[in-house]
Amino acid sequence: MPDRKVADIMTRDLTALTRETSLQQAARLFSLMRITGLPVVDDKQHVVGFLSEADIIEAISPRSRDRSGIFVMDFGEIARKMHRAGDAAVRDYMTEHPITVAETRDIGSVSEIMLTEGVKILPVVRDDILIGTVNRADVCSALMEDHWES
Amino acid sequence: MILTVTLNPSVDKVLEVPGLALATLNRAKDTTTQPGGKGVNIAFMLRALNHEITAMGFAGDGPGRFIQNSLRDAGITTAFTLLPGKTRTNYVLVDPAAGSLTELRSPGPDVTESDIAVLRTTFERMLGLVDMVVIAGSLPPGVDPGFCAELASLADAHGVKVALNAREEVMNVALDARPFLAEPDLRDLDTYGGYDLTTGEGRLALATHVAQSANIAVINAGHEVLCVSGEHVALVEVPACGLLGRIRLDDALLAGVIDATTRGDSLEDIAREGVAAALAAATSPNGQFTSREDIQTCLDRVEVAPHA
Repeated sequence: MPDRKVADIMTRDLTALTRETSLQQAARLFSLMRITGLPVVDDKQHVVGFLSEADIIEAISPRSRDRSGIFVMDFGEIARKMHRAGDAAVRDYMTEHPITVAETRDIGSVSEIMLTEGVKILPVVRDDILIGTVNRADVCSALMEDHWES
Repeated sequence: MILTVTLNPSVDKVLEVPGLALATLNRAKDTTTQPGGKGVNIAFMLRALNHEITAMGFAGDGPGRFIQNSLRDAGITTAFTLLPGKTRTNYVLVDPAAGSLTELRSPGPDVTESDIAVLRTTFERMLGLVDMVVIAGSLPPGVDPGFCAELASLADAHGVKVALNAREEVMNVALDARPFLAEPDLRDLDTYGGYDLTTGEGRLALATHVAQSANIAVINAGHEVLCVSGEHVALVEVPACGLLGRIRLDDALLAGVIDATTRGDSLEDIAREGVAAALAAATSPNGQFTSREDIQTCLDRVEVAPHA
């Protein structure tokens, strides 16, 4: 089935963050859902950003690079980052204007986006409104099925 | 699009146990496991009638994951608020020889104020996308009956119709939000708010009382269904149905009623479709009708009785 579309494999779930969601709540959701990121939406369900677990790790990471590029532990920086992250909202750490895909898009082009942009999850939109997500596992599984069928 | 809100979904295990007895070993002849909770059941059945559905509520781990996956597999979009605890499991023990149903219901996981706030935010976000909200079923520990009234008021403020099925303590406060459709949950009750449910007069008085706050009041007494809208009354006697069919008859009825209201049908046709939907579900192995044709085949068996 070479013309399979995003609509055939997407996860029809509207769980999303808002700009005001705390980083702590976002991390809890990632853990509960066992996922690596979620779209950020406004009150009209328009996708305005994307927050990944990497964004959260970056926000609270106890590591920082010295001038030679070597990771060093700066305990003062750790304390400051943890303190900031505790109060922080998603808006401060999300990727704004994330790549989204339409449900009508073919899976092959979605896999290319995922590879070239290095993203694991893409919000799926209809008329700019979030209607679900598509992740690497879904795409991988679909491509494998197509490969074996052909 | 229709949004269903199930604050306390469940996984329902139906066990057929011939000769069921307490305090001894019983062996089940047959077992089925299904997603449950009133709002969830109604979501499945409205989806079977080709409505676009988003299902939300609280969902824990384990069974909660099973419920969400089952909904999505049926083409229903999900937007559940996730809880760290486990979604409840209910048991229905069927003894065909004795003609009995024994239900064991769990209370559900604890819900915190923070969880309620997350669900409220999700609900408000969804209101811009839907035409009707269905709020149905029990409340988990930690959720005040007033919360359903709050959701109904929020929907009303956004111009979204509300269909509500609830026990008395919830209905009493939620009627203030003037829902479009209200069906008190009368299961296992002989009286409700002082109304005698064992008499036709008592049921009509209750329906009239509910219809003072809701556009359409639905009273399901098992053997008859009463729909009241303003001064208008439609009464339908429910033909007998099988034992298993009784499990989700109420949910199927509400799904049929809601479907008919979306077409703007007359009160008589709304009542007829509700009962036909219940009959269609009663003849299905899992207690849910699976298509509009299922309901159509049962419509001939349903007639609106003359009402004085």
